[in-house]
Amino acid sequence: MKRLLLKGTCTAVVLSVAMSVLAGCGSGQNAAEQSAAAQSTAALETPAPGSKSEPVKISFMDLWAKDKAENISTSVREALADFQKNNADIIVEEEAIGDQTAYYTKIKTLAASNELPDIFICKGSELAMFAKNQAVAPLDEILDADAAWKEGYVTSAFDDLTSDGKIYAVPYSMLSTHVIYYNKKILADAGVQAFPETWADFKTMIDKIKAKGIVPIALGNKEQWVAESCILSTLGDRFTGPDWFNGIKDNKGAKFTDPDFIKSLAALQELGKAGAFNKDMNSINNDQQKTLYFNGKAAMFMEGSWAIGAVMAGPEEIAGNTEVAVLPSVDGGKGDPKSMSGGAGSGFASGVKGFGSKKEAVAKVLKAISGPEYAKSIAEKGEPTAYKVSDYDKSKVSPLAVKYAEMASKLKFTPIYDSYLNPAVVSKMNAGLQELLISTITPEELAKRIQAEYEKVK
Amino acid sequence: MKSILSKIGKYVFNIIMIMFSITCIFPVIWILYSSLKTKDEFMLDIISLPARPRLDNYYHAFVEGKMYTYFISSIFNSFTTVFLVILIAFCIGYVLSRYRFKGRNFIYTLFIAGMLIPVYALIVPLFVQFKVLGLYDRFFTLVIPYIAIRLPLAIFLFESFIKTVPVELDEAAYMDGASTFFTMSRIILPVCKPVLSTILILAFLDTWNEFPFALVLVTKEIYRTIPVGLTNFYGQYTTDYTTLMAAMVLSILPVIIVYLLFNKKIIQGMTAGAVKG
Repeated sequence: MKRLLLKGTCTAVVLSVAMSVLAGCGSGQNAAEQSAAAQSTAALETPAPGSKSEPVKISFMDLWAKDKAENISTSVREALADFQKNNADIIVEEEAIGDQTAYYTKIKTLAASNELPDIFICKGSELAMFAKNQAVAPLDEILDADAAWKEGYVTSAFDDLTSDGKIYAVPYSMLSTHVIYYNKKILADAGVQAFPETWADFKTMIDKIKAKGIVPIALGNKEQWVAESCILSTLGDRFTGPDWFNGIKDNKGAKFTDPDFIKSLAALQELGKAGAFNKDMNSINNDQQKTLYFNGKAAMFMEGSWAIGAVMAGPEEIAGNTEVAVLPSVDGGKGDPKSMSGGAGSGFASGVKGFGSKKEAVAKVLKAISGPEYAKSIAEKGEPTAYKVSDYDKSKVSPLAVKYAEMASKLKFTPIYDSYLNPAVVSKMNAGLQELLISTITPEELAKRIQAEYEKVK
Repeated sequence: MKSILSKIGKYVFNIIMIMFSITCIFPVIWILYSSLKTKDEFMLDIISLPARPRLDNYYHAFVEGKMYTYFISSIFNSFTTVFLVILIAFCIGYVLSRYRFKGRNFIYTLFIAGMLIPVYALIVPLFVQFKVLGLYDRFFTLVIPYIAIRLPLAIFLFESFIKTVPVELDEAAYMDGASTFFTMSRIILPVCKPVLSTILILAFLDTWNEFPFALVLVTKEIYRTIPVGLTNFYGQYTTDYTTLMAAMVLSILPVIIVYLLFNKKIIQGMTAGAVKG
C-alpha cells in the first residue's frame, strides 16, 4: 500500500512537471513573438524615410455582417477597397460582428482594457460614457485641420456624437427612426384619401381601418426599442417640443413627469386602447411587424428610414402601394409637426490608444469612409446622407427612397430618445412602454418610474 | 372496469406528454423546413411549408456565408477541448479519489470552487491577461479557457465515480504486476464509461455552443466559432432568417449526432456518478 501511495505521488509529480513544461513551451514561444511585435511597433513609431515596407495597420470594427448587401455597408466596403488601392502604406483590417448586442459586448470589453480599435462604429449614447472614461479620442483636432471636410456635413450631423462640446465620432449616415409606411390602397378602401394632418383625423382613420377588419398599425415591440425609438421619440416631441428634451439632456430642470410628456404617453396608450396595434405586439419583433404589413393584414407600420430597402424587397403589389408619412400635429403640442426623430445615431469613433500613435492614417481612412465620394455612393442607393451631396444620379434610386428623400428634405430632425438618454433610463422607458401599450400601467406611473431612474443616474 | 379506467388514464397521460414533446421538437422541425423556403415565402407566412423545397439557403450559408471556416474552428476547439478535458480530469480525478495526501482536500476544493465563478465575470480579466501574455487571437486561444472551465465538473464527476469503484480492483491489478498507468487506462477507465460519455457530451455541448469567449478573445475570421459566425446572418436592422436557419441546421447537426451516439449512457452516467458519491 505504501508503494502504491509512493507511485501515486510520482504520477502526480510527473503530471505537474509535464504541465509546467507544456506551459513553458507556450510562454517561450510567446516571448519570441512578443519581442518581434515590440520591434515592429518600434519601427512604426520612428518611421525611417523611404521605408515603405512597414505599412500602418488600422483596425476597423463594424457591425455589418460580411455578406450582407445593406446599402451603407456595401458603400463603406467599396470606399475602403478604393482607399486600399491608392494608399499602399495603410492597411485597414476589418472585423465585423453582425449582432448588435454581441458587438457592443465586445466593444465594452475592449474599452474596459483600453484596447478599442483604431476606428469603430459606436452609438452616441455609448460614446458619452467612453468619452467620460477617456477610452475614445476627441476628433476635433483632425476635423479642424480640414475645415472643408468638417463643414461638408449637414447641420445637425454631429449632434448625436458630441459630448461636453467635443466631437467623438464622424457620422456616416443620417437616419430617421420614425417613418410611417402606409398602404394607400388600404387607406383608400377605408375611405381615407389623404394621410391625416391632425391627431383627431388620425384617430378617425384608425377607427375606419379597424372597421374593415385590418390592423391599423403593425407593431413588433418584442425587443422593446421600436415603440420608443420609432414612435415615442417623435410623438413625444409633438407634445413637448425640443426645448423640453434639451432640458432633460442637459439636466436643466425638465422632468419626465412634466404634463406634456405625460400627455404623449397618454396619447400612445390611447392608440393602444383604441386597438390601433396588433394584439401580439409585445411578442413579435420589428421584422415580423413588416410581415404583417406585407401580408396586407396591416395598413401601416412605423419604423426608421432603414426599412425602405426591406419594403422595396417585399411583395410587389404592397411595395407599389406604399407611401411614407410622419405623425400628424397634436392639439396644444409645442413641437413642430414638420419634424421626425432622427440623426446620425452612430458614427465612426477612434480608440485613444490607436489615435495617439496613428492620427494621420486614422484621419485619412475616416475621410474615405464618410466623406464626399462615399456620401454620393450612398445617396445613389437612396440612403439619407450625413454629408451634403448636391448632384447624384437619382435614376438609380428606388421610387420609395425618392419619396422619402422628398419628404425628409422638408422636415427637421428631432432627437432620438435612446441616442441621448442614459442606457438605464432608456431600458426603464422601453420596458414600461410595453406595459403602457397593454394598459397595465398608467401614463403617470410610467412617467414617475422613468423620472426616478433618471434622478438615480443623474 | 378499473383496468379500463387505468388504460384511459394512461392514454390521457401519454397524449399530454406527446403534446409537451411536440412543443419541444416543433422549433427544430420548423427551422428544418423553413430553411428550405425562399426569403419571400418566409416573409409572407412564417408557418407554412415550403412550396418547392430548395437548398439555396444552405449554399448561401455554407459557401457564401463562409460557414465552413467556422465549422473547422468549432470542430478543432470542441474536439481538442473534449479530449484534453477527459484526459486531464480523469488523471486528476483518479489521483484525488485513490490517494490520500497532504493538500488533497485543498486541491479538490480549489477545482470545485471553479464551478462557482460566472463566465461573464472572467471576460475582462481574461482578455487583459491574454493580451499581455500574447495569447490573444491565436488558433489555440479558445482551447485554454474552455478546458479550464470544463475541468471542475469533469473532475467532480470522475472523482465521485471512481470512488464507487472498489479499490480491490486496483489492488488486484497491482498484485498481478500492472503499472499505475496500466491500471488507470485498462482497468479503471473502461469501468468509467458511463460517466465518461456524460462528460463527453456535456463538454462537447458547452464548447460547441460557447459564445462570450469566442466573441471576445479571437478576432480573425478563421478562428471564429459557429455561434459567433451565426451573428453574421443578422444585419444591423434586418435579419436574413432563411439563411440563418440553414446555418442553424448545419450547426445543430453535430450536436444531435454526438448526442444520439452517446445518449444511452448519459443518464446512467449522471446518476451513477452523482448519487453514490
